[in-house]
Amino acid sequence: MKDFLIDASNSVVVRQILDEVSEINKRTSEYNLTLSEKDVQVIVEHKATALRNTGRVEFGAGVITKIISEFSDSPYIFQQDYVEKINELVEIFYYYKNETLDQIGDDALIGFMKNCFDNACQGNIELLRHKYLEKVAHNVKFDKPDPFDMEEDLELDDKELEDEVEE
Amino acid sequence: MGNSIINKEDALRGKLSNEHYFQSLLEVLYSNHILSNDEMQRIQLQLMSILNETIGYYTKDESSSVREETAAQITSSIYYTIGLSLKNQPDLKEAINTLQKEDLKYLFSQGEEILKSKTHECRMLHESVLRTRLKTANLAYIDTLDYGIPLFFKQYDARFASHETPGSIDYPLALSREDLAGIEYIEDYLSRLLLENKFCAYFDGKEIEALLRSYSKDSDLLLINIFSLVLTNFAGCILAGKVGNSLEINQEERKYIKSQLDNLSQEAFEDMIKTAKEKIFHQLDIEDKDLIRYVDRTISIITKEIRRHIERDTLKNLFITLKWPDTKRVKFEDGESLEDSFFRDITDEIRDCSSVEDKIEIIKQELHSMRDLIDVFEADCIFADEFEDIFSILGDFEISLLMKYISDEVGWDNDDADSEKEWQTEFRIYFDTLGEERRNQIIRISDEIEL
Repeated sequence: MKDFLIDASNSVVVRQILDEVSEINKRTSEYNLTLSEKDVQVIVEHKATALRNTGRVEFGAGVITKIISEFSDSPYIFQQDYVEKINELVEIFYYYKNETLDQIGDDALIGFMKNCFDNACQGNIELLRHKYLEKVAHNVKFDKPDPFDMEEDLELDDKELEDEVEE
Repeated sequence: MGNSIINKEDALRGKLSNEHYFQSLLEVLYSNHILSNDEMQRIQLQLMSILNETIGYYTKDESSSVREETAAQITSSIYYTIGLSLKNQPDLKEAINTLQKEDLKYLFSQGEEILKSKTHECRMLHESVLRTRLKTANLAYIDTLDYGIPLFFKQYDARFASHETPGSIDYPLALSREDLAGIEYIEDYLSRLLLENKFCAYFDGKEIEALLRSYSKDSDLLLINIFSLVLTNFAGCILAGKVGNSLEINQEERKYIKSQLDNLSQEAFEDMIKTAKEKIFHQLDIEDKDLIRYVDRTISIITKEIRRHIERDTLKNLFITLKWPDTKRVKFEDGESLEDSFFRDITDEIRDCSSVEDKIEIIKQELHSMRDLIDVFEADCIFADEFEDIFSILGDFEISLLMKYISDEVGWDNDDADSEKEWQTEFRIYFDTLGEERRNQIIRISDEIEL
């Protein structure tokens, strides 16, 4: 039988995101960051691919506006790579929702990503992904009391990883 | 529109799935143009809203996305719950009207209420099943009642997985439905099991156990339906013209049944079964209409078996003679065996004896266990013609022990002399020389001995 629910979910989403993005644009224009309708469509399409690749389903606008809103004031995001960075962040967000076994809420995960991105990673998404988010996933899988605890020795050697990322 | 629905009602009902009721109803109504595109769109949007809200509960509003399998599971659960509400309508026409008029959210809430009340009713049903449970050692029966069903109640997730049937339901019913799921499956299973228990309660529990043991010595481990076996044997008793509620049936009675039913036309055969069925209800004084219906339907299956076994002349496999456990069994504990070196000295000594009397004297003095006696028989120290004299000094119990030993090792009815040892052949010859009365006495004792 045709699945009515999943099919009906797409058309409303772009409109809903556009409404919210125009609000965000007003706020971020002071940093010279804006997203056009076309940008939003690209991001929504990218999100759909990311969801498909990670085997996830989302209802409504979901996390896109949350991610845009949270990262729009980052000193490491510029207009020329705005869409690209948001797409990458959306992609790794869903990936680590799975890797953290759905045990971490959207807001907590986005907040952690933003904090690492702006501080420890200085805008380096690969470092965020392979070092910090990987450590969170490890903590969840090994049932550590605080999934965001970065105190313990990380599995990957920092320098080695940074070299790898640079390459 | 209304009239056309009524006319089509029967045709539509046949296309509906019991397990996926709501989905099949939507599909059937849409493909038959009873639901318009607009109505379908409204239903989709309302379902979306319910799914959105339910996923919010699932993630405690902490996540806007879930894994596909989680979304699919929750969607199926919503479909199932709405389906319960629609099934609860007096008829299909009313279900369709409700679907067209009511907000799905209302139907979903109504379905949730039905789930709650059904879960409560099922717990009550489980208690009734436990109160009427059979005293049986059948593991599947015990396990399902004490572990499988409670596990269902423990794991059943009415909110997010109402369509699933957790737990471990292994015990097979005489008549089971495979087209149900979730709480409806358990409700149906427990209702049927209760009827089966009620029927079995008309019979002596010891006879039921004996019937199971007679069916198979491994009956405790088999996935068999006890009610079917009981009903079948009782139907046999009724066909044999017996009265009362005993399940005992013997070879003569089976012969009588065969003589009565063999070569009957289908119509006459069915008449005989129908009469027997009425006698079953009458003799057991059954008035419970649900039980009557259940027994009636089970007998329809049994009837085919009766016909088949009569044709193949295998009624003994259908109407089973009860074998009662032998309560008089004697567990034989052998005396202490001799040390190997001492045993060798004894056999050498026996071998050196020139007369059988001397050999007997040594056996009497030195041997204190059956095992040693048999080892002496097998140690090439006694000649064939000496065995008779040795056997003759043994009492009935010792003779019975030797007989039991041979029965267990090669079988008493074994005709192949080559497969047995010399003393065993000589023992048979000696046994045949005994008087009939003594032989019967020895056979009886031997049957009761457990080595």
